[in-house]
Amino acid sequence: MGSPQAENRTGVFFCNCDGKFSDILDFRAIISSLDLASGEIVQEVPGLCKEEGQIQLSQSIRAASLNGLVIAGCREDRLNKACLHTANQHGIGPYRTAFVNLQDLCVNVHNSGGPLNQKAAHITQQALVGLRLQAPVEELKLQIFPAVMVIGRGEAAAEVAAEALKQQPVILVDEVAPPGLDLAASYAGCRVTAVSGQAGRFNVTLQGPEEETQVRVGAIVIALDTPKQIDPALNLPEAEGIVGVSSFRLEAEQDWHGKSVAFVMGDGESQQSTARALELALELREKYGARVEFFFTQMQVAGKDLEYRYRLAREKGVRFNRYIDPPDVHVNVLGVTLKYNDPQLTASVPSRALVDYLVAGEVDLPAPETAGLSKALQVNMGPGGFFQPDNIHLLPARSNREGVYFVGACHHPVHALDTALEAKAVAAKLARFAHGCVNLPQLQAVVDSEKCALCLTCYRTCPHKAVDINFEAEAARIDPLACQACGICAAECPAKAIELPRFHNRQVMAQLGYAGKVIAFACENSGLAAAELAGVLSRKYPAEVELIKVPCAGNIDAAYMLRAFENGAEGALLLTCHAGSCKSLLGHARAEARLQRTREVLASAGIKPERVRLQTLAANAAHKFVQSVSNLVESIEHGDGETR
Amino acid sequence: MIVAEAKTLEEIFQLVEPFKKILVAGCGGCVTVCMAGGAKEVGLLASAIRLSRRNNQLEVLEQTVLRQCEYEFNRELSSSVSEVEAVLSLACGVGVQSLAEQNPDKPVLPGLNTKFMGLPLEQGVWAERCQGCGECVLDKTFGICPITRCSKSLLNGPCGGSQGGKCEIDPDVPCAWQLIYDKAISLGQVDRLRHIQPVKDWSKSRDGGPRKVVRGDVRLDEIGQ
Repeated sequence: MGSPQAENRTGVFFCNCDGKFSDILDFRAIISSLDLASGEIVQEVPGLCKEEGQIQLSQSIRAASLNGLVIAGCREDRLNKACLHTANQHGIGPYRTAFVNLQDLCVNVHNSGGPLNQKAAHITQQALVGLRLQAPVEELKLQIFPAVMVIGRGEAAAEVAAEALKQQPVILVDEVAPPGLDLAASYAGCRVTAVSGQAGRFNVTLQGPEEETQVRVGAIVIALDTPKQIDPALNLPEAEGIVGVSSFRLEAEQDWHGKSVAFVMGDGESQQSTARALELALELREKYGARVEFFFTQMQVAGKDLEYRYRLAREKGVRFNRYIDPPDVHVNVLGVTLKYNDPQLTASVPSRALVDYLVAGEVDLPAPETAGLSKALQVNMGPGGFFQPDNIHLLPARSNREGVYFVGACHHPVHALDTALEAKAVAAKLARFAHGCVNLPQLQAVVDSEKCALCLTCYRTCPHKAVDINFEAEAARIDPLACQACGICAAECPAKAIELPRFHNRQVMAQLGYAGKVIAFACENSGLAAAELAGVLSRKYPAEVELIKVPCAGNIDAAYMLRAFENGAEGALLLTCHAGSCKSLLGHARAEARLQRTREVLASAGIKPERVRLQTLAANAAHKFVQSVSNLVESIEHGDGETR
Repeated sequence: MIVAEAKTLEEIFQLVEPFKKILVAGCGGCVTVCMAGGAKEVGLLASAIRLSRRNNQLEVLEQTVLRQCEYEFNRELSSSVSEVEAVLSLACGVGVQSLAEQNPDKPVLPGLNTKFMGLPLEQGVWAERCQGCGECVLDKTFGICPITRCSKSLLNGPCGGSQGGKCEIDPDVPCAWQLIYDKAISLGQVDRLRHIQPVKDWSKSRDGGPRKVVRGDVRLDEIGQ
């Protein structure tokens, strides 16, 4: 793990927003309370977002040969952009430039006075010590395999293969090459038995009817076709004249003139099923003038063209009947009888419809290969035995692993109608791998192989499966392309051998030396965003509440919480995403586990365990942020906190 | 590996009660792997001790060595040890004793309870697998240790306390002899279990007193050193 930049010459620049902030903040007091190391300077500038401000910044950078910048000012993008531009011009770069949002974290949310000035000084000081202890960020150039493997048969597989082919070689597994596609290779009748390596450099073992093959690809798309089943909730009898929507063929019958057909759609089926039913209903009406009854409880119109098709079907004379409970269906020599209660009619007598055929809505079942593939690829499954956990950060097409994507009904039937759109979205993700090389800054977790005890904690814990064992170095290795920089491994590692370059243990511990009475560890995906939004909305809360930014609540080390109390904090709050909405899947759960452990320690040390709390919140929940920090402050003021 | 677990914080606070300056010494070996005594736990425990003594100042140093069961590695601790009144070791009992032997004038206190030689069944769950009996019988029992895993260490089991594949001491503990029998069936070698094992020579185990392994071929003579 790199050590801090050899020579630290960081300049702190306070933008007083043309004096607007000077009414609220006492910049002289703030500046005089900063702890500066040798080579560090501090200045107050009237308007940094303006040209004169930038000229002054440039001059100061040159005069003091600065190699780091802390810009404390408003939230405005143009300020950040102008400063980054100037920083770049002087070769300082984005990783040596830190911004402090004085506007939303101080000016807008606290009343003026001592505590506000102290907080402004603290958050600026935190950014400064962060830079002071920041190791140079390496630029990585990774060689990767440009080919993509598409696993599956049917429409989804063909769509995504066609899209990806526009930019990179495509290898198709278990699908006979569709005509017109110039595939790099096609392995019909093969299945994936094992996958090693990481995004960009996957090594896939394919088991064919006769032999085993090794294929190297940069990315993998799972586009399995899903089996269909008549919606079991419809409770339909098995009888001639009743078929599922995907197996109903108009051509099979000679003449549909004068016939009657009922479509019965359930509540839980896919858009694909509804779309196909509407298509058939329209054709029966328009082409043959058949009588069509359409039974539904919630019309699925969220997919592409569905609303249009539904309206058109109505216009063309398809009769739509809404039901509360699915129709009671009987089959006899006369045909299929549907008995149902029309919610529009108050009469207790059920309505009846007699038709020649009944076409039933269908639900998708998970592809039979799902569990096996999920194990081989180490990707999580989700609700109903399909691929992909129900997590907003993964939708529409991502898996928990970088470089593995889903298209079509195999991951969530609800997406099936927009296969074409999904295929395009996935192709856009795949483009990253198309050039055989990826450049990226080393901001991901790094293992110190000297300290690593190979305990396998990170290997087992990583939600993105980004950790491999480097047998030569006898240490864990975190793949820079696969790692999502959540920092869960760093906080779990029993040897303290893992660090995130921008959230290094030494940086956070130093920042904790400049934090207030109440410390909110804020996940940047939720807590921090909510706190900044509180500033945008000018929602006030006590100024003794200070934030420590973390990449994910899963990175909040129990040692951080304890250190906060050691430093004299009276309360701590873990601001995490809701369970199930964590970008790193496990972050909330790990934070919860460490909260319990910290509470036990506090209790043994005679501090009320409730002094450390966890609040789940969304990025837009400014009110919840304000409420939770205010509650904690209030309870500290009311209770004595110490049990001995 | 050797599996250990932390003593309760209350016990530890009591152990360090008389002192004003201590060293919490971690071990980078087994106890790091079983998450009981590595650098991370050293940091957390040091914090906990400082917090408990916030009104009665106690200075806590932290240091972790590669393996506390080696005199050479422990020498890295010597300057810290000389500064403190006592050492709280987060190593297994072996580490605690090697530190104590090396520092005869310093109290070396155990921060862990050393449990057994075992393996992780999953992250956070460790199970005992070896008792160090000095005469391995795993060849006769299809790789399942009856000394460790049978509550009575029977060599010709099971006993009458085996019910439904479980040991009578606890419904969650599998009967080792049931496991051995099942394995024998799956290997088609049940016949081998007809052979009665003779009485075990427990003198090779703990019953013979403290043990020592001497390897003449790798020993260095005084001059060689």
